Amino acid sequence: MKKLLVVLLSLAMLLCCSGFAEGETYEVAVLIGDRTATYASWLAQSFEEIVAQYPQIQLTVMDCSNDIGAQISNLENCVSKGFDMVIVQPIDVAATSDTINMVIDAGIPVCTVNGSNEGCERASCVDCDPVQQGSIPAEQALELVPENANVVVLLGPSGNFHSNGRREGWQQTFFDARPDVTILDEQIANWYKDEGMALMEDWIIKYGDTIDAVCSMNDAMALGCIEAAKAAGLNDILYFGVDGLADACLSIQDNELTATCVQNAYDQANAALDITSRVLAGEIEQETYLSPGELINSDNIDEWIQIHTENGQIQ
Amino acid sequence: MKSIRHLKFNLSKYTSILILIGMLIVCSFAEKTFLSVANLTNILRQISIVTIMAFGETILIIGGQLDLSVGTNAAMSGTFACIVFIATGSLALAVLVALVLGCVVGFLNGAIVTKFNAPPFIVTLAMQQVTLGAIFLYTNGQNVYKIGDFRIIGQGTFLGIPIPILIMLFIGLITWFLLSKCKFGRYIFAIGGNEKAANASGVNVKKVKLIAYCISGTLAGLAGVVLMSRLNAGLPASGTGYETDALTATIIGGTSFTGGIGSAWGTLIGSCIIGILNNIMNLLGVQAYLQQILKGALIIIAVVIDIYTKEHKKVVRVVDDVLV
Amino acid sequence: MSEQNWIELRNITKDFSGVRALDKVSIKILPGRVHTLVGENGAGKSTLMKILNGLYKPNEGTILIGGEETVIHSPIDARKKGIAMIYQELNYISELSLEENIFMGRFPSGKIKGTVDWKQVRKDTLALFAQEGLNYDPAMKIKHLSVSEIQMLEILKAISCDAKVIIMDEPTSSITTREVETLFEHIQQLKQRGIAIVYISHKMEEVFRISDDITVLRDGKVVDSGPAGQFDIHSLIAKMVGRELKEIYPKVQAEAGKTVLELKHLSSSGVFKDIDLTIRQGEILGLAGLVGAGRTELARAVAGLDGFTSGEIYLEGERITPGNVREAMQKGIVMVSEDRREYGIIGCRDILENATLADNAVSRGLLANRRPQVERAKNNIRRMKVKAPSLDILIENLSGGNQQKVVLAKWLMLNAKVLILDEPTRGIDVGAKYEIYKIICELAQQGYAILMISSEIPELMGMADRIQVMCRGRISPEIQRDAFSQELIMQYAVGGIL
Repeated sequence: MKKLLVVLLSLAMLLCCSGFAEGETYEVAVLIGDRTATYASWLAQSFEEIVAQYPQIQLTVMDCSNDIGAQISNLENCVSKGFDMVIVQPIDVAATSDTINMVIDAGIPVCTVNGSNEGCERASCVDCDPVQQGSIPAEQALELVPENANVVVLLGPSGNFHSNGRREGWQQTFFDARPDVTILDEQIANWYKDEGMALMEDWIIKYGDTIDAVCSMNDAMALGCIEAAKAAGLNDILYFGVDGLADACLSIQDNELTATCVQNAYDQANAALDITSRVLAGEIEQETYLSPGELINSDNIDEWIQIHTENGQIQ
Repeated sequence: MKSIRHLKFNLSKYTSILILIGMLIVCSFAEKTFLSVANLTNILRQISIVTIMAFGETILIIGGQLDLSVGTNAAMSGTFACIVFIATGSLALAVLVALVLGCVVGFLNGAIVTKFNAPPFIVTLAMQQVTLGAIFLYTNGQNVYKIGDFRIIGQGTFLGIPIPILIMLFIGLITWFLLSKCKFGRYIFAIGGNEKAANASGVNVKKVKLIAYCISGTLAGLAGVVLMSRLNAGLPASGTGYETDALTATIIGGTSFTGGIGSAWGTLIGSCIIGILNNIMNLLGVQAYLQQILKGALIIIAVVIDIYTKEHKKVVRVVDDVLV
Repeated sequence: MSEQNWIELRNITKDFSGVRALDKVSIKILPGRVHTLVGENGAGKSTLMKILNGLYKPNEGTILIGGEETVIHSPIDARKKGIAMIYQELNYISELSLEENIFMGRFPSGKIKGTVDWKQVRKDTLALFAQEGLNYDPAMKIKHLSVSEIQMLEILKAISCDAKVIIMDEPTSSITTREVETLFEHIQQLKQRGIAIVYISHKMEEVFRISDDITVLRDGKVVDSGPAGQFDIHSLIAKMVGRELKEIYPKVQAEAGKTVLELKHLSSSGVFKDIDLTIRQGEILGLAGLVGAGRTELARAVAGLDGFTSGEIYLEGERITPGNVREAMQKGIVMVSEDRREYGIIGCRDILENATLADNAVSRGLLANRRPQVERAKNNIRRMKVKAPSLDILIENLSGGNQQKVVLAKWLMLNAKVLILDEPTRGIDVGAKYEIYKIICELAQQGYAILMISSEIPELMGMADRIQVMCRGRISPEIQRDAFSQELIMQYAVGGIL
């Protein structure tokens, strides 16, 4: 009985797989790093939306659950399943580059998105510069943070590529230029709102109302700090984040978050699909596109609320 | 000599409270703001969510069971509560939906574990994926914003005490009552201590396990409500990893991983120990990477002390006074 | 064979956190003789043997081997010095082969350090088997052997290390009567080779059959020591428990009342078949038989722990079909299991909790430990004469006899009608056995219908009003008390009559 079931299942799978092979459409796999992360989710959604403009592309979006091992085996599966092209959001560039090279060697072109192609330069690349993403809110901070201010810094997971890059941008643009500013403390909150909130609560106990600004490497941690400060009745702290997602924009609209830098997922997905279509048509072999970071603050917030509303991020 | 023996016997029971008192003393010397009412309230508020889950986990672990899905269950139930609140404006309905959803997940866990004799580790690990998938499918991975008055539960106060702390203490009291005063508690201890003997003594093992999973699931739902209202948003990704914290609090609180031993009181203390450690390290500005090492070290120390005192208790076994 | 003392323990004293387990104990172990240690549980037998085996270090006293003072550092060191121990719970790794188990911990090294010379292992194992006339495949997994075969292998392992002394801790506790005979033959052979045996046992018949010398320990002290000939069963027991027991079995002939339990053609496919039996109020029915005859399975079916396929159970004339334990308990049938650790007690919980567990399971209400329940539990525990300083002592800290008394107290809470006792005195020392017997007789007098299962025929003959014997799932006709004879029961048990 069991054996029969296995045979039937395998047959069914074979039929399903072969069913797609017909027609002139191209099968493209999109490997998202972690769909539970808000940004990656926006990216995945953008892909699913924009692909409608490319009738020749049949898209399969896979989630790698923030697990490098899963991402590598998904990449390997893409070869055995015979996809025509693979778009991958690398969880860790250094760890996946070898596998990406292996996929390219197998004759399947690859395009990285929201991550560099360092170590696998034959792959196309759509990325933004994390250092620039740190620098953009830091520039805003240069103008707004008062002299001799006290600030706290929140970091992403230890050793994270983006967190380190953004911190580097803050260092170059803000901290090196403002020796008058004191960093009271600098801690890891793993990108999470609740961890950022708990840290800020502790800082408020220790430093009271002497904190002037919060420099966070993403928005969620900054938003957590805002909640903590609101509960403690502190209203004149400046908050800087990165990502520019819907919740951050709403917070800027409410005059809570000061400024953030958007990494436009829509723009990145658009560019990745554009490159993909041209690679598949044989027009180009490889292309690198750096998506520019954009500052969001109270001056241009309405525009971004509009964009997010159109994308369905804000109802 | 007899009094010495008795002292040793009781020592193991109070290991965790001694660690807690020790930490309070050391911390109050290390940082002057530590012992302030504001900071102590702050610590209790921070641990409330994990502790509510840990109470459910305590019941399960005493019964030799385990629930790894509480974190994602909380995320799912809490986020749904936010959605319901936005749609209906009824706080009561939102909370009820979260509790029912949480309970359903717990029921599924318990039903699969008891019906098929499946290992709880695997079943609840799978349920972790299912609950996470369910909420992401429904919200499309997007956060739920503008939850308005929903945040009262997480951010409001009653008689000057933050509501999350009151909820945590209330649940603690209920857990204590269930474990110490009710037959249900006796059954749970018996099942965790020796399932076959419990069955041979007439305990309906499957039913009791099922109820324990339902309690754990319901508490996860409640924790989800508190979490989301504290964060002032429905964040589907936010509960992940809370199950590990809940487990750690339970084990540090003296609940035996092999089952049959444990208490609600101990879990509260275990949770306080972790909360204080996180708090004092932030107050002292301990470097981020060093914090991780110290947290790990604390867990090892607590477990080793626990094992050490338990072993010493075993040696003391001369019992020959006739009972009167 | 030299007549010099091979091993001598002199004035050994051992304390455990202020509690004296051994107090100036001296014994001599002579080559080619079986030296039996007897004493109640907690008398210090095991501690003494663990010292000899290097597991514990004595606080005072010396160990002499061949007249020379020695310190034994560890069990491995003990083995090097010619002392091997065979534990009650056999130590083996079921998934490994015979040869691997025999040479575990002392594999011959191969050419490269850290590797095993498997050829040598195979050669040595085969040589050892040949020497003993055994015909096993060395590569066979040990789990395919029976308990007594594994025990044999342990002895073999000891011989292969050139043991001068082999310590056997209750070696007959988990093997069948026939296997005991084989074991005793082996012990005779070992004696002839000049190996000394230290034998620990609770079974009096065995002690007198096998011993050359006997040492009685009580409360960590040597009470008496000498050649076996100078003891008789009554004086030995008296020395062990420190008082004269008038009789071993305090049997009181109870007046048998109306029929309480009746089984008609009860069958469970492949386990037992066509079982007919009746027990009247105040009566003890003994159920004898060899291990595996289906006695425990029958008891479990009646107590609702397992199902049965056909036949009828009548309780006070009313037909019942207990689908689970709770139903059987509510109807009034309760069972004390043979395996106390597995089915009887919750080791990590206290006395009161253990005693009230069954009552909780069948009584109404949500709350545990209401005052009347606690009072009743206390009364029962007191009646059972459980020895413990307080009710919140963990049950695993009690002796086997006291644990069994708590289990009995637990079942007395239910006011049941039928009490099934499966090996009620297993693993219980002599003094406590007597108390358990007394309790059983009292309960019968009080009106319980008791089914008592035991592998010790003298015990059944001493306690039961009637005896029925099971053999391969079938049951014999009943034997009345005046017709009891060990030979008859044994004949039924091995299938000689049925």
